Amino acid sequence: MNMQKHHQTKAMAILFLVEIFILVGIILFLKTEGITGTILFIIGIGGCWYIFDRFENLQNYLTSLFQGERRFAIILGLILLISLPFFLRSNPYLIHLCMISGIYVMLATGLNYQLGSTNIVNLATAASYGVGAYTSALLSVHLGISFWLVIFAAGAVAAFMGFLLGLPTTKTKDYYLTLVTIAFGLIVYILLNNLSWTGGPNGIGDIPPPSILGFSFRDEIVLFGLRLPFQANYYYMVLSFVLIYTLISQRFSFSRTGLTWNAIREDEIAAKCSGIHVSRYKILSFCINCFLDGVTGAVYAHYVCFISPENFQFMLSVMVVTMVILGGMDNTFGVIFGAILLTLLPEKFRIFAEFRLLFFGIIIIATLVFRPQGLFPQKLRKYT
Amino acid sequence: MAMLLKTQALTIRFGGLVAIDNLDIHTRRGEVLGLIGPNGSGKTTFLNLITGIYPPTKGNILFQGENIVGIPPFQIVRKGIARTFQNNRLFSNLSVLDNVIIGMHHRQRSQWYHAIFNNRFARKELRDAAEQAMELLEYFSRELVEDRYKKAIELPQAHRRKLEICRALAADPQLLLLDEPAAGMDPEETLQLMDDIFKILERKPDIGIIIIEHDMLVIQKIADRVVVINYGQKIAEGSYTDICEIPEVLEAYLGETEC
Amino acid sequence: MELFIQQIINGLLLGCNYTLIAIGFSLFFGALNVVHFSHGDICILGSFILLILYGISQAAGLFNTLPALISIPIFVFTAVLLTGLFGVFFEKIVIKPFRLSPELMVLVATVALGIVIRETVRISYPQGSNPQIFPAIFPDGGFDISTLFIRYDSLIIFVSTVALISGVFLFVQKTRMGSAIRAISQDIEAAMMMGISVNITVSVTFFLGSALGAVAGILNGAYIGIIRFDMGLMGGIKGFSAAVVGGLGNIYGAILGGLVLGFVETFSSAFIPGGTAYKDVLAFLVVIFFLVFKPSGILGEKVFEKV
Repeated sequence: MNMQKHHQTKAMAILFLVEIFILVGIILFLKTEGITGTILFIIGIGGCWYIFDRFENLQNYLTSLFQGERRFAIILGLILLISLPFFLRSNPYLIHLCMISGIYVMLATGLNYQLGSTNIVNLATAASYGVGAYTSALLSVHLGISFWLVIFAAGAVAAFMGFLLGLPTTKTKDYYLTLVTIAFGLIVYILLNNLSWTGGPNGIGDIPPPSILGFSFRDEIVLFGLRLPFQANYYYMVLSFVLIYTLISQRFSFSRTGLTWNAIREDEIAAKCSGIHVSRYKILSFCINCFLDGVTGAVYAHYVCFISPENFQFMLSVMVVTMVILGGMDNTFGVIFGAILLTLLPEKFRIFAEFRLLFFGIIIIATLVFRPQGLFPQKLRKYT
Repeated sequence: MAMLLKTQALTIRFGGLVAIDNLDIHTRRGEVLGLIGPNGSGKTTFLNLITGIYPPTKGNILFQGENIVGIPPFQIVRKGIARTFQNNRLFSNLSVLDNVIIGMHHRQRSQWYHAIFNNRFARKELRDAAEQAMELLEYFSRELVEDRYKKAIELPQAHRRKLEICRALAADPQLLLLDEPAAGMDPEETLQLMDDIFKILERKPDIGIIIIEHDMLVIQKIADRVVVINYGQKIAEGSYTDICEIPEVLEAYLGETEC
Repeated sequence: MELFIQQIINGLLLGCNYTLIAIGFSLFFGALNVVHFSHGDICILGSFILLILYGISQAAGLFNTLPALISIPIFVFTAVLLTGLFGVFFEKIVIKPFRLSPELMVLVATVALGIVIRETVRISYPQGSNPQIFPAIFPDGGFDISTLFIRYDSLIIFVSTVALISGVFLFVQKTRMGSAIRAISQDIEAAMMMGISVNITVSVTFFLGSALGAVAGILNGAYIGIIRFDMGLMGGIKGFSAAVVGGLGNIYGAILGGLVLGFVETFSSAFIPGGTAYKDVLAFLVVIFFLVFKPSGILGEKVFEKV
């Protein structure tokens, strides 16, 4: 009995150290200015990744620790994530960055169902994201509907768009489908730019921020006696969404749906001959991805309070695809890592902003050539 | 005894080429039907027709009395037909266990909303499926059970064949179609394969099996009846010893010394 | 009536442009079963290379010594040649590594390559984000046929396109290399066993396709008078759509698809009120229609996947 207690304490201590290490790392990385500091950090992160990747025993050890003391690890993680804005309260911009990383995590986990689980190359993320953002903005601004209802409408409209986008999948091969998604993204952009009721190139402004019981998200918040800038409100909201999205992702992974998507990815014909209705599951992946993107769009629209077609261009779709490919196809943790890394890095290398899209393209090619499974490959399902 | 599968005047044309020509083949429950013929005679095409991958140009396919022409492949599995592939189509990057579980797809119920909202149900169904899959693997192969968390692509060839058969059996079919399961196997592995097929029959005596094979030893040992096709047409039918005497068969297999 | 005929001519010219791009897509798909998403950007690369050559010769004062009739073809030829070589180079680094990998990889890799090319052009060319004026390589003016005024540049574009397409056709059908290309598009392994060098054949295919694309980019630039670094994305999508509508892998299909798309776009722009903004949308809807109802295209053959 004493032995068990000892093991438990040891496990908790190690998990505590690991999570604190990650938190401190994130805070320092955010606060680092200048190129040399950032590069050192990247080397450090790269080193940690290399050690983690190379030593499978280490991976298994950490995973088993996590599984063993799951409740503790999760609660501790939550506490640390909640505390993050407190450490950054002197610099609201950094909280904003965390929040934007969260938005990209949401987009990337959504795309993962298609790109990672099913190997459908969907380059229309910007379209579903934009449709959600615009739907929510129009409903909020013109009809005064509350944010909390509008997000569902945004998701639903985007999901319907996803359904339309997915319909051709029943008859077409992969490359045609990718072409269709690229074309679709461009069509949505053109429509947003030209239709009068979307505001055209001027977009939609004065989107009311969300509010709970009279408290507007644009107000500063006071927690535990400390004053936090209004970005913290949005940070907490996005954090909640990220947790929900991550939970959904894990649940799909260990379910008949996730397994079926993988089967379709591996061999479509064998999947058909194993009783799988392939088109139905492909359309499902579109609808789910687009629904989640739509909700994300609504969150974004009500944060920046002004949206225009410029926010929803092809480049964004490419960025999200890069995050999934680099992070790890069909690995929730990998995708989260990829999203955060590829949101924060361009921010740190702001002087190279000109080269951002170019680097994303090069990262995609390099990853596919040298490490096609991504930084964190998919883990096999275990049933014991 | 009622027919399990019966094709009537089954024909398929690819452009100008007639791959299957007016084929009448039938098989009963509990029977192992061997389908032999030279390469390119249309054997795999026949399987593809039955499983709904190609639509026939003409003719009917009656499975348990019902015409299954025009039914998409995934529904045909639900009707009770499962198959293996000549070139081994496994889900390469998924584990052995996952491959078999996917075979059970049409017998499972959980949908995407269960995954999100009733996760307990979704997980339980998956775990139960894993147990059943284990039981199926245990019945056929100790090694596959040991390797159950290995990726399918990491298995040796003979084990992959076995896994594909297990995946097909996981669908609980009434008719099992095997496409050259012994291809590329050495004599010991072939004996193992024949053992496995007998095991299948033991476990489920009224299952129908159609086996395409080039290895005549396998056909001789396990087929109750043999159909010989050439250029998409049936040229002989009967027991193994019967068809061996027919000159057209020997001619079609020119060069084959064993019969 | 005149307006109508004028639009027919416009549609024809646009069709020529799309056809030249579409042939590239069909060649690549036919040879390697690969959809080269960055082909459009390679076309634009060609027009930028011409721009650079022009700029260099202007600066070096070479331009004034040679008569335009000689210097222009030299520039065009060099630009096309260089683009063809670039096409081969890109194939080696971004398509060849994935020859045996799942389709997904080549797909994403070529999309990424397109981005890399586009951004490199934008970054390295001075003021790259802005539209660039394209040198006037065609003679001004035109001639009359009854009530119709035909511009010289339209004539040149049409004639060159027809000449090039015929050339490609003859090449693929009558020459040894052409039959090698047809061989590997049927069965790579069999072709290898017949002594055909797959690598060389593929290189020739990519050279040819990219060179044709460069011509398309240059002709387009000369006709409109302006080029932009991001015209490749749209152009590539349209060219691919044209190839698909006609039947991917089929040269006749590329021609037919190019014309169909060219006419749809021109006519919707001219005759539907407010159509200019939505002409792209309409063109894509036509493509999506085809993909859903007839994915093999108008002329394409349905390929049965070996099960």
